[in-house]
Amino acid sequence: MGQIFRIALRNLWQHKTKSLILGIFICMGVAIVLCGNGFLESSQRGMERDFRENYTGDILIEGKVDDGVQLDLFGASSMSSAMGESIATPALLDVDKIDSIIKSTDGIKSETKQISAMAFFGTEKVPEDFEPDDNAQKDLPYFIMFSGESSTYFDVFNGTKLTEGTYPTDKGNEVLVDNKLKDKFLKYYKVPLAVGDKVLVEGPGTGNGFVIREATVCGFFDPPNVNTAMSSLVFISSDLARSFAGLTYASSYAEELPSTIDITLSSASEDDLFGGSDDEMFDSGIDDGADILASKDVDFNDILGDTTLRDKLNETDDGSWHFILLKVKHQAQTEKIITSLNTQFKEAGLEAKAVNWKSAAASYVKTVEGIGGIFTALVIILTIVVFIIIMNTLVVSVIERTAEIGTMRALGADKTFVRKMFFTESIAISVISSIAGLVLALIAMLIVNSLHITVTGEIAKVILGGGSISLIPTVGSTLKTIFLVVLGSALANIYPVRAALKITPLQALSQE
Amino acid sequence: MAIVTLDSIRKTYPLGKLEVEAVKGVSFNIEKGEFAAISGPSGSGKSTILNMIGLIDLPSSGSLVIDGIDIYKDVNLSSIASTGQKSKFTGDGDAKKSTKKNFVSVKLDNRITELRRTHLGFIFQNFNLIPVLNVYENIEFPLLLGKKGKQSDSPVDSMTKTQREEWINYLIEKVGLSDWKTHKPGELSGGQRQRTAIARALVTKAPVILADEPTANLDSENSSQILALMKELNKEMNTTFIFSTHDARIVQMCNHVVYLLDGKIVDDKKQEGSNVYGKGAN
Repeated sequence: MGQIFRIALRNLWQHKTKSLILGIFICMGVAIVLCGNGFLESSQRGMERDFRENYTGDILIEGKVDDGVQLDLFGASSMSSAMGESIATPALLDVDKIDSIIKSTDGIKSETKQISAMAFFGTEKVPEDFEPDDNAQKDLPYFIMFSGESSTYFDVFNGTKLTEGTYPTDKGNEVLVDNKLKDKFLKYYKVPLAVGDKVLVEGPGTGNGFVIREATVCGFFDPPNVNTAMSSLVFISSDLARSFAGLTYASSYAEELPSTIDITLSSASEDDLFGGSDDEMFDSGIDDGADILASKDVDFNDILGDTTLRDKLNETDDGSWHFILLKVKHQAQTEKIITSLNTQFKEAGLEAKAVNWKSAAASYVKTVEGIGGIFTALVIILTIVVFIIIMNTLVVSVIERTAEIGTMRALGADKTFVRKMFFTESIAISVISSIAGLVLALIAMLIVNSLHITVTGEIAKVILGGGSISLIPTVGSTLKTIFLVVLGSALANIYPVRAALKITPLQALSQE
Repeated sequence: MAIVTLDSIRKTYPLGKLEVEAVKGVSFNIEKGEFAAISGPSGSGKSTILNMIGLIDLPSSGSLVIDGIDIYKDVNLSSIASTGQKSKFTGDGDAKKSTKKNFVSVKLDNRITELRRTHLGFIFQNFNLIPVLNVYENIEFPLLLGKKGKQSDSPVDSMTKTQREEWINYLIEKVGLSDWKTHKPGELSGGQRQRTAIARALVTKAPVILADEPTANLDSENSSQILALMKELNKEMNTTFIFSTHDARIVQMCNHVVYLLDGKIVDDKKQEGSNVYGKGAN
């Protein structure tokens, strides 16, 4: 083996230019892959740490959704739904039973509950005919609305830095605003936002309607991680949040309507209600509205009859939540606990599902993973190109060394010897070049990391999984990359070595 | 005692739709310790015969015995030849291409590869040294091809490392390259390269050394020195040398000359203890 190694290394040295070109390709390829991996992995790690600590917890318990609907902490969505059509985030049913299962499960450190929705701020401080500047559209104070259980939420997610004011209360119609959103508000409406100000929270309801509620700004905060990928966030009183999330008694009891409600109209068709000829419709004895209005028999205060039930059903259900968020004692146990919880939910017949942080933040994770996918595709293309170059170079090398290979065979070297010699050469060059690529990547990473590069654009932050650009690969992925490069080099040898093995000693005599 | 025996050896090559018979049923013996030449004009088949004796080309039929081993005893040569491999052969340096394909089984390939290592040494007209190895390492190379723990016919396989080093150094001294042993082939003259090749051919203590036009690429002075060296080693080590040549100087030094014409033996002269053409030629 020593002889093979010696010949292999000397051959690499003998054909310096070729080895160098090959080495540079492998070295650059490894460096690019390692830097890319370093970036993606550190982004994913940073995002995981940020989201688990501050937004999703380790485990999210969510309600049941139809097949094809994706549900995460930011709401429900479906590829098949029409553009702009909102899908209601399901309320978590039987919260008390779920709670008792959680409490009886080992390994859970803390728990809180949450409602999520989307909205933006309006204000009555601006004139009715207010028009934002054309270039201010991007600053529309649009936000993700989080409403946590006031007694537990900020204990579980205690990284939020309150810079002014207080936390919102359950019943207060209050909003705690991200300082980034405060700046956006100013840029968009040209009026400042201060603690105590009234704002209009406007957002899609759970149906086709639009919900507008007035709220009071109770304070401002900075996110725990200034470079977070998380969009602008507003913490909001839970009662207010339920108005947007459709978490009313009506929605909770929709399946068990009281018998007092006349539902006969619900089975009538449009023709039943509005059928008949136009003549009948317009000549049906109602001369015009003025007659009704003139009638002294009509009691306008009681035109709708008894609305007590309707009012009750429209009240928010203060026991309803979208999600329960859990933090575990040991993160390594997370998947095990998720499995245990899901088994217990199933046994108890509960329509609840425990998922990990990745599923809880699927909207964000998918973006980062999408970028990872594009990078992987580029790596595959790069690998194929490098593979072909290595193979081509080795084929040329075999042709150039026909006499040498033939001589070795004539002197008694078997095919295994020739095969080993070529494999040793390509493994040696790929290992040496990979190590050089690793060193190059480490230097590049040190430089990039020391520059503390941050991006400020919100879209860029979401795409990159956070605003901080750092390149820190794991040992595992580094070794995997080098292993794959070496394996690729070995595979690139198969065809050239087959060509080398076809060289007979006889050919050595006709060469040189 | 015959060290090499050829019996009715034939070699045919397909050339388009035709079959060309390069060697037409040749039979002769080479005795141990002979300094033998296979001679003849270009295209007479001498290199083809040398390649077949060197086990780097397969005969189409016939029998070949080297050092008592019937090489193709259990091999159906006609079936290999009829399916045969795309091969080249040299005839006075001219490479001719054959379109026929030959499939030599792995087992047969391994067997003849091992026989080449243990029973045959080669000296090529182009020297064919391994360019990345120095003189010492080139000579050492065949010794390192022996597989540890595998039963071997070669006396050098049982040598200790020190014994091998001493043996290699002895050969280097014998061929006059003591001051050049760390030099690579690119740093040597033609004569020095051929001396290295001679030492490499001798290093396995193979009973037969085959030399294909060993002086073709050397000037007359170097040629004389190389031939004298080989003759000396032939006498000293009783190693059999078989040349393929049309160089009259080599033929005159040999004590056995097989003369070929159009693939057939036209003369087979032996003179025990002296040259075929008289002592004066030495």
